[in-house]
Amino acid sequence: MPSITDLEKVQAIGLLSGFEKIRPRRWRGFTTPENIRLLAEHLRRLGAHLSAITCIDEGSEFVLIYHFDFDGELLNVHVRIPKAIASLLSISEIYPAADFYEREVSEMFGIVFEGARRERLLLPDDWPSGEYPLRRW
Amino acid sequence: MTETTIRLPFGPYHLALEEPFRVNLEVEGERVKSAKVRIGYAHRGIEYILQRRRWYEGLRIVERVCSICTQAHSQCYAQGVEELAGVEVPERAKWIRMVVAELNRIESHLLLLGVLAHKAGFDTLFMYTWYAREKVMDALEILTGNRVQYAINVLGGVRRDIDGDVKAVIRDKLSEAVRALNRYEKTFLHDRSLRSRLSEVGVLTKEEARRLCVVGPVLRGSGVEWDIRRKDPYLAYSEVEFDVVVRDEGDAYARAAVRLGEVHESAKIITQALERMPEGPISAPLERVPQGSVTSRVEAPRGELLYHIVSGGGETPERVKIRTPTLPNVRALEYILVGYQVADVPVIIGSIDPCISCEDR
Repeated sequence: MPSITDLEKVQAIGLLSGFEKIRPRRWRGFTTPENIRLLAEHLRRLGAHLSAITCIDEGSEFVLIYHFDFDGELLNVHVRIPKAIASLLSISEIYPAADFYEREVSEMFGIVFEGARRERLLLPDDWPSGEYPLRRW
Repeated sequence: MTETTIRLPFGPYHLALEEPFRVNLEVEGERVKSAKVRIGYAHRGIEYILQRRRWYEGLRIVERVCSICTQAHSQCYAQGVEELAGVEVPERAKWIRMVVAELNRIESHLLLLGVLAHKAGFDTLFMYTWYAREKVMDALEILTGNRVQYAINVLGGVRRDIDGDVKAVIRDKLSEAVRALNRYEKTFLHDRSLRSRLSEVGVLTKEEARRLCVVGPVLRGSGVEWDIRRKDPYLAYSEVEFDVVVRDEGDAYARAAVRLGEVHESAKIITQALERMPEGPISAPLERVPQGSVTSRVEAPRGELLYHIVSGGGETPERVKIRTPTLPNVRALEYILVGYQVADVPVIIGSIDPCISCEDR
């Protein structure tokens, strides 16, 4: 079983910043869009479980939260991407479950995950392209 | 794709499916070569609806994400909002919530086991299992007033207390259900024809299960001991005794056996809870939800359920993300189905226990 203390190694190579405990069994960390794939590879090697990917629209930016579980300890990795770019690397090759999570985020918010499958998942086939139900402003 | 490959759509409407979803199969002879899942036929946009409703209205909406795991959704949302608001739920309310959650788990597992027997072509067993389930439904009705969508949770506690009479009824109905199940459990686990339908079908190895991030009985049926009630305890789960049921085979049979074992563990939890429930108030006032965000997790009947709730300090949530356990499990189907016969597809899908209205939200 993986342990949250293993994360120090990942932190040491500069993939994860601002790593701290915010509540009992809840941890927070930040990374950059370029590093998310490399970080996912490291976490996969440590044996982390990917629980979910949450996207939040904050006006000019999207915040993506990757929820990783380490045997009961939950690590939320935050990634900020500007709305004008709205694209980042897919981690679905490393975590097959991410395929569904990423496709859901791209349908709901219009974020492009490079390397992800581009097939409709949740919305109807005749849903107009360019319309994203959960995007604001 | 070669000339002998046939594309075969399974669903969205199919005799073996209770709810609509589609698996596009590519078949060569009787063997599945590849499978692709398409969901969304029951998508209602609940995450968007929640952004438009007040905090307390949200509680009634999340219960309707799915009526079989309703208590898990209600619990996950309520405990998240309570954590944001800094409200401590009274002890008695926690124990009552736990009783309802476990009754809900029994009801859900018995439903699936019956459906699985039906899919494997054993309808008598299906009816007997649902007979046992009906007893649990009766207990829930007496306790909460509703057969489904119990609406027992309010923000800060519960709506109804359990008094002595209700306790006695729950005990009676529960022991009746367990007795009935004990009788049919043997058939479930040892009947030769049923076993030949379930054994060595839809095998998911331990490593593959961890790689695919599956959750709940599917993960535990593959030999990984991982249960949110144990790993990330909520309510009063750290104070009661129960075992996490694990099987190593990784096939449809193991997943059914895990659920059967969990029914008995849940019954154990309920019995302890009814005995040891502390006295006291059943709810605390919750007035405002301040700014902040919280990630809340519970073990739903189908596995880890995750809510990420963001509050801007207003009357409504800014964002509620719901990740239901069926989503990763259904994704894993694309890997599990490959190599098995077309006739096994309904059984494998059934053994995953897909809850489509959960998954589509």
